[in-house]
Amino acid sequence: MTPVLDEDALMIRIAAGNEEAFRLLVVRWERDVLSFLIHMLGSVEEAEDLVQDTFVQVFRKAASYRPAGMFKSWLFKIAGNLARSRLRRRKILSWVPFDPVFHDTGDSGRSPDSNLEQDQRAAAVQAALDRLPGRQKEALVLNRFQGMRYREVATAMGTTVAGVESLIQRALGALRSDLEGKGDLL
Amino acid sequence: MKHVRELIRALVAGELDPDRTDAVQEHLAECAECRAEADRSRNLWNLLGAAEVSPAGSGSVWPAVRARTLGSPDETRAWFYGKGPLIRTGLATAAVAAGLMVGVLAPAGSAEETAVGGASAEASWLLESSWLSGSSWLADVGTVGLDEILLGADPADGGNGS
Repeated sequence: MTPVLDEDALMIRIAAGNEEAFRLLVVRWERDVLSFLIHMLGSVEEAEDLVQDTFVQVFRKAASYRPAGMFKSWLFKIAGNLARSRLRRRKILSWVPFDPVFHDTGDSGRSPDSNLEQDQRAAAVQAALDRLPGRQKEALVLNRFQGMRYREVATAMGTTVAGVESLIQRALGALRSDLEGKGDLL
Repeated sequence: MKHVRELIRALVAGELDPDRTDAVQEHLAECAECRAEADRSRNLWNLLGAAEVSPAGSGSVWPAVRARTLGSPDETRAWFYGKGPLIRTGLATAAVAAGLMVGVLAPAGSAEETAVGGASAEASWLLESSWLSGSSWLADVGTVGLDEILLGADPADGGNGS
């Protein structure tokens, strides 16, 4: 059986300039990063741009990566920083109100047979996510959609586990208040 | 036990340790108020799944990322052939000398080297990393399999990433 290189081993090779290791890392993680960025930005097109930027940064920072089994947190820290920066720029340029995620989900991989009701529900949930304060949203997305534990989220966001717990508690409380006013969603 | 409202969201998120999970479950069995709160939290957690995105249709960003980090293969070739004949000869000589150095310094007989030794010129680039992986400063990395890199056998890849 072919042993699979873990991310730490790949990163060491990437730091040494190994192209194939870099390719493997990109194809292994690009979809997770894209999914995270779609949630954060509400735009597939912008998210795709930032996926590229994320991996360019991974390559440039490879030499400073410490192989301690925390690659996922490190990766999403980079992606999160880029997303926050993009959101700040969007705010400055007053591109608001920004239509929620599904304004351009033509290639987002949603099932073609998904019905209108599901789409509306998804749009309502994403719109409610978009109304959350940035850090609450980021913590919740990493935990709920990327399956990251509070400890990993804390590392990715540069905060404590208690801080993450608080962010997620507040996010869920706000979402509930928001979605309870939306008919029979809850 | 007092109400466990604060723990319910952590329970739903799977963040409670087994002991606390048991304690909360016991409380829920007896407390209708907290049970209703747990139901609402589960419903919300499940509802969030509606916004799950699985961007399966997107192509890989690898070609674009490669071009932005390593440059395209054509650019590398153009760079080499853009040099004068003297410089090209010097570069080629240096490359051969570096290859010989690696051949002399690399420990003989490992499986990884055997794999690399018979591989193409493209794979010979990996010989250097194979040799490096045997050095002491990387000894704590653990088992390193070059097969995945040599053969591109990444199960998560599905073979469409290049």
